[in-house]
Amino acid sequence: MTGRLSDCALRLTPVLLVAAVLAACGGPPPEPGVMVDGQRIAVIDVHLHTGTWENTPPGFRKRLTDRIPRGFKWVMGPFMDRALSARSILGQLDDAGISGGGVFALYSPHTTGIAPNEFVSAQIAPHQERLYGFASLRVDDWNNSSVAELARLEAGVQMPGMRGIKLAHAHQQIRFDDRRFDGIYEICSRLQKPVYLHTGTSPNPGTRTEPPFADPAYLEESIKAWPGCTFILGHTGYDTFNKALTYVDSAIALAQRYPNVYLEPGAMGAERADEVRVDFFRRVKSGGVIDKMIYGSDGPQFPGYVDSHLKAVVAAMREIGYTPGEMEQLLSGNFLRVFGLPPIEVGGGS
Amino acid sequence: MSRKAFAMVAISCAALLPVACSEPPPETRAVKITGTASLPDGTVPDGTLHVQAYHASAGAGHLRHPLGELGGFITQPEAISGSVSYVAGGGEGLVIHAWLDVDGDGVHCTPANRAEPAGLTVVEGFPADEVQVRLTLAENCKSASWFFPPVAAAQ
Repeated sequence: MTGRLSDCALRLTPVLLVAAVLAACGGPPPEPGVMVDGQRIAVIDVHLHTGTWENTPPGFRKRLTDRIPRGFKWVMGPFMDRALSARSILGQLDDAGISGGGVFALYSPHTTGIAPNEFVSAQIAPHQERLYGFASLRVDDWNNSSVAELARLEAGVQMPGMRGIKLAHAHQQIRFDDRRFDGIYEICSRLQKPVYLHTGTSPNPGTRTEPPFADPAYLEESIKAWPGCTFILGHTGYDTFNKALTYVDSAIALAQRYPNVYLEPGAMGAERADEVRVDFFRRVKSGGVIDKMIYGSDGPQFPGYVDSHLKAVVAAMREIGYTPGEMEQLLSGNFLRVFGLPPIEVGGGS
Repeated sequence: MSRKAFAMVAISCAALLPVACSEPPPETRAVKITGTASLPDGTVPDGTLHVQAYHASAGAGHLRHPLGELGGFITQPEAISGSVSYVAGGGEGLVIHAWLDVDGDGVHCTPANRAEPAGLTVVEGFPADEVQVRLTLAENCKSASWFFPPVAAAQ
């Protein structure tokens, strides 16, 4: 497989050159922020992925290449390696007018693959003023490796540029109510590194879709046990697999009840969420948890995704009648508050 | 080379490209699983049994991991019977996890209902077309990774 990819990669070189020329010919990036009622609002995208084709499992590779014609699937490897680099991520942020982004480490060998802490830190270290790293750990042999893995996490969150912890119970095949993993929340609390947890489902092969792996309600006992740990419920329980808001109210209820619970709307701006997006942001507003929502996209996915995701989310908020102040909280203010960062200056606004 | 010959070669190359990097479809197999599940005191409980089969390990290199999911079925604890299809060469070994759906909601425990026991067994002699298992449902609300891999003897 690797040899075949290498042969094919050679043939890809001219394609990449053409793409690079086209990219170089693009216009200047837009001004940072989004304009709302004459006020320019800064944006931070907490949810971005890096990684390599080499560390992507076969099932996820297949999903990524399903839409590519047979015989041209080899294009995806070199494309993905380039698209998930820090430089490319920054390019997507620039194109969308986004000031900064969270970049996740991954240890999900069953599903989406591995992006080690060291790799993420090396990617973001030169760009720490804009990219914020989230460290993670393996959990697939916890009965034997918990001590070593918790040490890996503790070292990871202290690497250059790392500001939080990333978990994905459904991808890592662990239940939210499995209290063996409370050691992770102890590190979160002691080192003050917020933990981002994927909640809800996902269309990625190998993802567990049953409620104990998807519904954040199963996490409540750990949330109560670790009040000093900030829990960011990624995707706010969005059931991506079924394109439904199955666990969204459950996530909102936790954010209402616990001061250490925040939410994130990752992938809610994707085309896949077109039918549920407005309903989602309406529930967030009526639930009174706009001050708990931290913007994220689940990018970069494909060229232009980060920008189109932001536009779709802003359009939904406009439609529902979010005020500029509410949008500012959701798009950057809550992130800056939770992570203890100074305000971002963008022209003509916050 | 004439222009016509060059065009012919170019068209032929373009036509061959779509098959140059393609792979044959994977071979699938099936394993029939039979047996029984009981509580630790030996009694066979009421309720439906949700059975899930896994390879003991799957993947390669850094991506190698325990519990490569194969598939599952719903059956009765007193007479487990079902089959699971899987891709040949996708992993090694066979592990069976099962849990008892006491309240019939199809969900293995809820935050309020914490009494749906689960168990796991490692099947010897796999690959095979048919395997027989005896499961003890001893732990409430536990997924397969709670049981497997077990704590290594050296620790």
